[in-house]
Amino acid sequence: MSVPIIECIDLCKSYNKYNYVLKDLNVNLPAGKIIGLLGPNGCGKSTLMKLICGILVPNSGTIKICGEERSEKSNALISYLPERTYFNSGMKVEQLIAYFSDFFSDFDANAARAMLADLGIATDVKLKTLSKGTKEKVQLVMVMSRRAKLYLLDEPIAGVDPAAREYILRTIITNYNPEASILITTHLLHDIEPIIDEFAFMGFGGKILMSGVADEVRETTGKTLDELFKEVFRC
Amino acid sequence: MLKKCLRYDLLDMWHFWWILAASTLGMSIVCGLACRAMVELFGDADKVDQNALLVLPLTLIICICILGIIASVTVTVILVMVRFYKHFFSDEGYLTFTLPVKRSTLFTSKVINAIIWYSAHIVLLIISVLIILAIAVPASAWASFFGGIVAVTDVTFLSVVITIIKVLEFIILGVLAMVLEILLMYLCITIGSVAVKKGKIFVGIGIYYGINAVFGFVMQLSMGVLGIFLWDGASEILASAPVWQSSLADVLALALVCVAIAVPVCVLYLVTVNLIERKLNLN
Repeated sequence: MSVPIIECIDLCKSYNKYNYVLKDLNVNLPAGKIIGLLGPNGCGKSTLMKLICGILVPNSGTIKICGEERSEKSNALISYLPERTYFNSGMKVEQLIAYFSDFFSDFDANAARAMLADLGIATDVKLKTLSKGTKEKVQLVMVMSRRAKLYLLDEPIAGVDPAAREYILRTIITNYNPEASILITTHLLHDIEPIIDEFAFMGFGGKILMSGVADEVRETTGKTLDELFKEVFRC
Repeated sequence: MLKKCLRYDLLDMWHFWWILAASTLGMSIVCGLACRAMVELFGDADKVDQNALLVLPLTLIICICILGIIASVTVTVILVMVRFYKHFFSDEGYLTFTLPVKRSTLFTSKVINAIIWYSAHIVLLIISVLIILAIAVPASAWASFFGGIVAVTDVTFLSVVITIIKVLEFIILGVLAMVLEILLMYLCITIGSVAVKKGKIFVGIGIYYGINAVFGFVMQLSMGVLGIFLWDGASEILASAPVWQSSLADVLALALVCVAIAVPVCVLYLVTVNLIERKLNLN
């Protein structure tokens, strides 16, 4: 049996003394799959991603990446796209490409330039002169140009136009390394449903309410994931 | 990885610092010219009445330039601290802490970066003062100044060696004091960012002034106690000792002060790295 790409053991995280965002979360994510992590606002999806990246420190529990405890070495295996813009906006796009090339040995600068050209983004402009949506596209291109073992995409298509959304989803599929895993969180379930292999519905406290192989669940229930989501999380 | 981190930190600061340096040197030249004008126009008693109207504007120019040169030091400090805060504790931290680099390495790079820019600014200030003096002071005055220095010095081999050792110790002391100040500011910013969710910068500034107040009080108390109980006895012994013994006492005293400052430097570094590694939650 292959080693899961992510293993969370009794993971707990709270932002204050009284409310746990994640409580005793135990989850294994397999390698080589595109997994949709879906749930209502505030259920802990982004928190889980940040814990896996090391941006947040868990209150208790363990996270293993490819069988080893999470450390700065794990960052070499993980390509993370947060829901906010995280680069130094004083840089030019070409300088950002050089930055990623310097720090990440798996970064493909030529692939990044090709994707930026497809999206009509010049590389000799300063990042602060770009619009919000364009900055998000640049950020996504940087992340997808890495040959990582695990891609964590937190709301990758939320702030972009429908045409770019389609391009981004196509990019995810075509640049997808069959040995890597992609974990996507989004509210735009209708758009990502065609590309995900497996899914997990996360409830408050980090409870996994439903999970499985997307195709199998659609065949068994006769419903789309979007319809199932509305059923499970009906207000 | 440390070299890579340092290269990007230095480049980041350079984008702003070169403008500050150019402005500071520009102000030095203006100040020097204004001082020279004052010397030329008012150095002779006959010319004072003729040029009385120029006193105020020239004085204003000199004051503004000097204040500007002094303020440039604060600007460098603010630039260094803002870059530290933004790179670690703002949205940029999402990229910083997902690099395959140890957090201690990231922090060490920031400390070295600050040391380099602070030192660069000290050199800039020295150059500024030299520019002002070079423009403002007439050539004849320089000749008598250097002639006086040569006349005063009475050197022996031992005095030269001790002077060199003391100068080195003062340089080490200066660097350690600079590093202590940098680490104290970084620690206060880190505590502010880790401990509270809102008003992080204000909390950091408050902690900085609080620690400085406590440290200042402890230092004054210690110096007072040392002065009361040790100074009289020590000054009697040193007054009757040969010159080489009192010089050696100075050297040893400076070395002890260097060690005394090195200890809190290490403590501040370790505490800050520990907070960044174990307590930092970016959200």
